[in-house]
Amino acid sequence: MLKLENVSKIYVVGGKPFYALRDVSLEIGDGEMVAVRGRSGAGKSTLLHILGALDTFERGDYWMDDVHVNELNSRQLAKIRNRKIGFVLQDFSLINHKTALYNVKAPMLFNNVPYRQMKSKAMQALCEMHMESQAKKDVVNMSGGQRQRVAIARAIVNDTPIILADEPTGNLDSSTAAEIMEIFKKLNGEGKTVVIVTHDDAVASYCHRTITISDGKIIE
Amino acid sequence: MKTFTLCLSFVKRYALSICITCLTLASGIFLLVAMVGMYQFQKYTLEVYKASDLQDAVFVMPSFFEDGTELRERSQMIQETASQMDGVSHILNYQSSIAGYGDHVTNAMYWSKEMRDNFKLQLVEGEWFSEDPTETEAVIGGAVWDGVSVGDTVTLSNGVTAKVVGIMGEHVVYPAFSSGTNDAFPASKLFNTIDTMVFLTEETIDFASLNIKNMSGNKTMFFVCFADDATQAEKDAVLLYLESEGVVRTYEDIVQDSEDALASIVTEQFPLPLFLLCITTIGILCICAVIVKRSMPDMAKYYLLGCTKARYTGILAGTMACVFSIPALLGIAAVVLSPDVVHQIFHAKYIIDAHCVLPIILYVCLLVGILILMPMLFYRKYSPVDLYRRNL
Repeated sequence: MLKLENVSKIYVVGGKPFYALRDVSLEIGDGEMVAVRGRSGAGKSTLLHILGALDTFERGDYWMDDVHVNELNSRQLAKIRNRKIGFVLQDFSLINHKTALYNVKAPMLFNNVPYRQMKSKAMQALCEMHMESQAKKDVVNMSGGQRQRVAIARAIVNDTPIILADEPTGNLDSSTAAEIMEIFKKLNGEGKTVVIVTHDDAVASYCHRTITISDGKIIE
Repeated sequence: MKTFTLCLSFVKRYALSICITCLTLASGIFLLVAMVGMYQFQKYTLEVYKASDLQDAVFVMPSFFEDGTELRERSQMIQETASQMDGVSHILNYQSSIAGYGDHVTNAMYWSKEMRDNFKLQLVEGEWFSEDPTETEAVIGGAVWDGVSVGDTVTLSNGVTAKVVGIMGEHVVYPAFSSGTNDAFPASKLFNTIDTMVFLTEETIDFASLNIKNMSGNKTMFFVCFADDATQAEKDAVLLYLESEGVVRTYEDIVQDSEDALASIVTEQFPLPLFLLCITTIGILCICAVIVKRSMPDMAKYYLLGCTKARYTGILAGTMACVFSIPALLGIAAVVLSPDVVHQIFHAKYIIDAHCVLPIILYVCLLVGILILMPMLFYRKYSPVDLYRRNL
């Protein structure tokens, strides 16, 4: 369960405070599939960064299951990101000069999965995305849909219970986007909590619930 | 292994340029250490020569004659003739042999009292032989004698025993009277380095009894020392005779030749390794700057996957430091651990010790320091989230 209580994220712009998020409270239950919508600059990505323990915030409380995230240091936050959360981003955030296999193995470089098991686990994740034949191909030479599948394989390889996706279909054509959303739906069906930031109504329609955010506040 | 995988990911793309740079770095450092070692030998031998009491002596290298006379016999004849001339005090020469000490072999030398008085090799402990030794005395030098102290008695081959009265200084050098050229005869040609050495008094020992290999008699080259009261005319007469028999070098000649040799090392031999090091240092800094700059977006990606900024920066800095310090240290180790190889390459004597290695070590430390600081300073103002936002 992800729970935010009165969370505010404040930037200082030109010497004045700017609220990227203002007193946001929300709760996302285990196994939910939630869409976060809003216009550009509304604070969607900031919310996702905070949920993903990527960014800090100035006020409020964040609970991930029983863990009070506010109190964690950078190493503990890194551990949370590695063990609890899988990220799927619009730009894929893959290491471009490396193979698909290396990219999927990368999260296991930072946990206690034995080195010898890394390859087999990565291949298993790539198989689930039907990308096993592309394992040794550099991701820079792949299509957008293939890269996003590699990114999803990377997100699930550590068997994290939460998937956070920021505009995951933003760079894809509609048919590939639909395929990717089916994968998210399947992962959600397997019990993973999925939070997707999107502009797209079609993407939002796959989700159980939609959170709309405007000017840093949740409005519905 | 996981950290190694990450380290490899930083440098794999630049493998060729890194290999070339590492090779140049190792070569530059190898050459520089060897050159510094040669310079140090030249300098040290000049110091020993200047400290010796040879200001009023000339060095003689008899020439080969085509009349079939054996050089050793000819040298002996010249020495006998010279010693009988007016104004000549004595002739400096020595004998050497190979003696056994336990399982080791050591150079053994007999030095006359005049040799001892004139060549004041530095001792770190004890003193040179006593005026009237009642037993065979020894001055030792080299690692073979580790654990032997002044006052101990050492047993050499054929049961010869000698009491240790002195231990040689940091560098075990001895007057070798090697051949020089007609043009130059620096002090470095007078001396040689050796791993182990024992100097013995002759008075109470049959020197030949030490011999376990081949005994070499008097050297063909020698010093002729003038008497204190020798007139210039007497000296000129001696010099005229000696010059007719071979090459003669005065104290001033040898000092001048030594200083010329030192200057030659500085002006002719140092520039190449220094140039290599300068080029390599610039190359290393450029390669590392590229690695750091191009790895910056990847920091945001690894951050998503559970790597902290500090860990990423640390691994990157450590990788660069290791990649470039290892060839540097190998370059130093190659000179220190393979003296025979270095001797074969350069055909020169050298002294490698902390004094010549320390500046290179400091250079490596400075380089490593810069390589470690570079990513830290570069990444200091960027948080992974900033990078992530910038990349999107």
